[in-house]
Amino acid sequence: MSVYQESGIELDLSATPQHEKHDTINTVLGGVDFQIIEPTGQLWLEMKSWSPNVIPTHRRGGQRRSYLSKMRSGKFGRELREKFLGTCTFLTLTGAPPAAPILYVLLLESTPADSALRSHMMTRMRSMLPRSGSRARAWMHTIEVVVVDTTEWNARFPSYPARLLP
Amino acid sequence: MPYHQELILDNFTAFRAAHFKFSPGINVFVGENGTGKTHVMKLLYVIQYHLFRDNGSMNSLLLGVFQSDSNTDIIRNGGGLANIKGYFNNGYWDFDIMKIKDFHERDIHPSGGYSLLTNPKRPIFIPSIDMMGHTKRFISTYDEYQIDFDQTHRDIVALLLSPEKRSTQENQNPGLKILTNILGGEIEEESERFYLKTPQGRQAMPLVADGLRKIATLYQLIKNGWLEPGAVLFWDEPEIHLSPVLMDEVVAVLLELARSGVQIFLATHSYVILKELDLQALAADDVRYFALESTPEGTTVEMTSDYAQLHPNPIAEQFDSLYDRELTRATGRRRT
Repeated sequence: MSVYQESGIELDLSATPQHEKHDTINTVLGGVDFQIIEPTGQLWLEMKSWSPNVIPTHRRGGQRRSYLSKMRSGKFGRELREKFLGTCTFLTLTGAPPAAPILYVLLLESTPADSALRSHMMTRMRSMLPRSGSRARAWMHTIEVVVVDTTEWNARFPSYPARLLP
Repeated sequence: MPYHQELILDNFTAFRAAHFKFSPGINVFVGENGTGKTHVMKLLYVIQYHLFRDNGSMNSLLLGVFQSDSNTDIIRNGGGLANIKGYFNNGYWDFDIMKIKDFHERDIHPSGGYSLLTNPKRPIFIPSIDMMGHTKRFISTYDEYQIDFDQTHRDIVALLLSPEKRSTQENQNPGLKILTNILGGEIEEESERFYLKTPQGRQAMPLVADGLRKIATLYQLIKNGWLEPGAVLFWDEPEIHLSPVLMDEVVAVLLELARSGVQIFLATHSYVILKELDLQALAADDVRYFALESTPEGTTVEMTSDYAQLHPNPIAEQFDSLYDRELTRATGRRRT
C-alpha cells in the first residue's frame, strides 16, 4: 500500500508503482511533494492546505498572520515556481532529467477560491514557469498546470484517490 | 426615511408571480439577459418617483421610464392586467396596470391604494449608458423632441446638473474622497457641460474615458447631495466601461453609501462586482442577492444574503464551464 498523508489529505498511489515521495529524496533544493510517472508523461503533485484553520486555535495570532502572508498570491506563486524549478534541477543533477510532458498539479485541501479564481491561478502559475511555446528555448518543457481541490482531483484522476483527513 | 422592503409582482413584464424582500443596504440582481433585472429597478424607480412628487400622471411616467408606447408592453404576454404592490418600511402601495389601446390617465389604478407616513426622497437611477459626457442641452432636447432615450436618462442629467443641496456639507460621504483619488481631481460644471479639473489642466467630460465618467457620475451625485442618507440609488450594470481594476474602490464607495443610509439596487453581469461585495461586505452590511431565472412560467426569483449560496448564478456557471474545459485541455482527462 502506498498511502500518504500530506497537508490534510490522504492520497492513495497504490495503483502505480512508479511514483516518488519526492520531498523525501530531494531535501536540499526544495521540490514538489510527489512525482508520478505515467506512460504519457509525469504528474508533479504539490499538496497544500489553504485554510488557516490548520493552525491550532491556541497558536493563532502571529503564526496565523505569517501563514496568511505566505499564502498571498505573489508569494505563493513564487514558492510554487521555486518548487517546480527545484524539482527540475534536482532530477537533472541526479541524472534523470524530466521527460516532457509534465503536468504540475496543485491539489488544495480546502480553498475559498471558486472556479473563476482557480482558473486565474492556473493562468498565473503557467506564466511563471519555463513552458515551451512561441518563445521556447531548447531547455523548456511541455508543462501544463492545474489547480484542483480533492473533488476535482478524484473526478480527473480516479486511479489515485484522495480524501480529506478528519 | 422610507426604503423599499418588499415588491410583489403579478403579470408584470417577464414575471408571472414574483416576490422580493429587499435589504435596506445593497440589493443585487443577477440573471441572464431578458430575466427582468432592469424592469424591477425601473418599476421601483417609477413608484418611488411618483410617490415623491405626489402628483402627475403615473402612467406617463411608467411609459416614459420603460420607453414604451402602451401598457400592453408592460403587462406580461400582453395580458389584461398587471398588479404591482409593495411595502416601504413605513407604508404600502398597490396598483393595477390596465391594458388599453389608447393612452389614458386612469390606466394605472391604485387598486388597494397607498399609505405612507413620510413620502420617499427623489430616487436616483443611473442607466447603463453614460450620460455624464452628454449633458449639454440634453434636457431641452429631450423635452422638445421625441428622442430614443428613456426618461431615466433625462432624470439623471437633471440631477447631475442640479446645484448642491444645502445639507450637502455636513453629510458628505467618505466615499467622495475615494472617488476624488480615482479621478485625480474634481468635477466642475459650466454651461451644462462637465469638466474634470486636475493639476494637469481641465478636460471636457466628453474627452474623459468612459469608465472615469461613470466614476464622475457617482462623484457628482454625492457632491451635490443627492446621494445622502435616506436616498435610494438604482444602478444598471455599473460594470459597463468600468475597468475591473477600479471595482474594488467602486464597491467600497457603494458600501460606504449603504452604511450611511442609502438603499442601493444594482443589476449586474460582473463577477468582479459580486466577488468584491462578497469580500468587502462586513457582517453588519446587509447585502442581498437576487437570482432571476427565466422559465416558461415567467421569471423566478431566489434570494440569499450569502453570495456562495446564490443559485442559479449564470456568471459562476460560466466560470465553472471555463474551468472545467481548461482542466480537460490541461490534463487530457474528462471528469469521471
